[in-house]
Amino acid sequence: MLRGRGAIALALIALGALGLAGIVACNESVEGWLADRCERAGTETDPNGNRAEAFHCAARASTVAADLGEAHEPADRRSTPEGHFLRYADDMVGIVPAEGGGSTAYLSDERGGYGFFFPFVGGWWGTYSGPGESFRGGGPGGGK
Amino acid sequence: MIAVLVALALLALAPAAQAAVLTPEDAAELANALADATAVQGVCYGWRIHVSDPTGAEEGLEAGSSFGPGDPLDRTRPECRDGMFAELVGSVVYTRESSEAEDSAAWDVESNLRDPPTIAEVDELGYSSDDLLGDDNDLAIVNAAGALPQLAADHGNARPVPFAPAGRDPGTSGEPTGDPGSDLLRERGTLLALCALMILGGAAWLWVLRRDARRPPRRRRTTTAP
Repeated sequence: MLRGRGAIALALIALGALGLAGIVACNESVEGWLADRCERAGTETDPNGNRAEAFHCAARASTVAADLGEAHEPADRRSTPEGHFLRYADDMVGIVPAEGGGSTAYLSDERGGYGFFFPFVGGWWGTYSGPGESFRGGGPGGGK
Repeated sequence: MIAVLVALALLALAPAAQAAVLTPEDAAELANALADATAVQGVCYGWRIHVSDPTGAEEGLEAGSSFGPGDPLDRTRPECRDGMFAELVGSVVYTRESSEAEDSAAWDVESNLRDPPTIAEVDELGYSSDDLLGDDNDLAIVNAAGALPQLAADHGNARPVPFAPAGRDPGTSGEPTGDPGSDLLRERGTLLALCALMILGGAAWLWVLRRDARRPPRRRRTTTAP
């Protein structure tokens, strides 16, 4: 009887250890998720030198954002008319419509991404110093 | 009597009080973003959330549109091509602490677009009407209303609003703040905790079994007949 109980306890430990190992081993990165579903499209640099890796995806921006958010729950998310932005521990992702269909996903590290996506996430995921926002209407010359 | 009737009529005609869910700056930023989208797409956008709050802190109508924060969406304006519009509408009902009823919130998308954005798509993006009851209810409105132009473009109603990582405007700066925490814990925290519990539980059980096995067996009392 004692041996039987001991075997169950050992099995419990083994299952827990296997589960832990499986979770860690099968934990796909955000970059891996994008690379699996989209095509790498080089690196883009903004006028301030912030860089982001680009991926071209066949699916629409909203679909890619919803799927990525489901596969990898972000710490923060933000949607604007220009695109969807997701924040992870070390990554920031912006998913925007691509010319000619589909979408482009930009992946950057936290600091570079905050600069790259600053017009859209500035003040929401970090500090913002500059002129306060007031309504100016839309059209050419718009933007934060 | 006539004075009371006049007062009631005036109250009925008076516009709903402005609810203070969004800060003026956030409302202006959202209205600017929607105005930019309208300029590109010819579709007018807005948000209209009725808040019922017995404490009065947020009571009123939280509304705005491509025409400005606090300005209701007017699809007869020339900016709205063929009167096209999409609007986030919703209601939030807070109850008194003494009430047995629970707080509730609901939202939807009203639109006359040929293939309009749906609230289900907004939900799939990770925004829920339940968020309207939380501390980040302002973010829920800003994100859900902000997503409408993108969804409208996805459905082929209008062209997408162009994205340009133009960098920071002169005079603006900022750094990321707040710790996003571990991705692994956020995504698989429950499973990790379950596995850890199995290991700890199994180890504790083994320890108890071994301790009991080392104890000398109890003597049995035997009685003998006189």
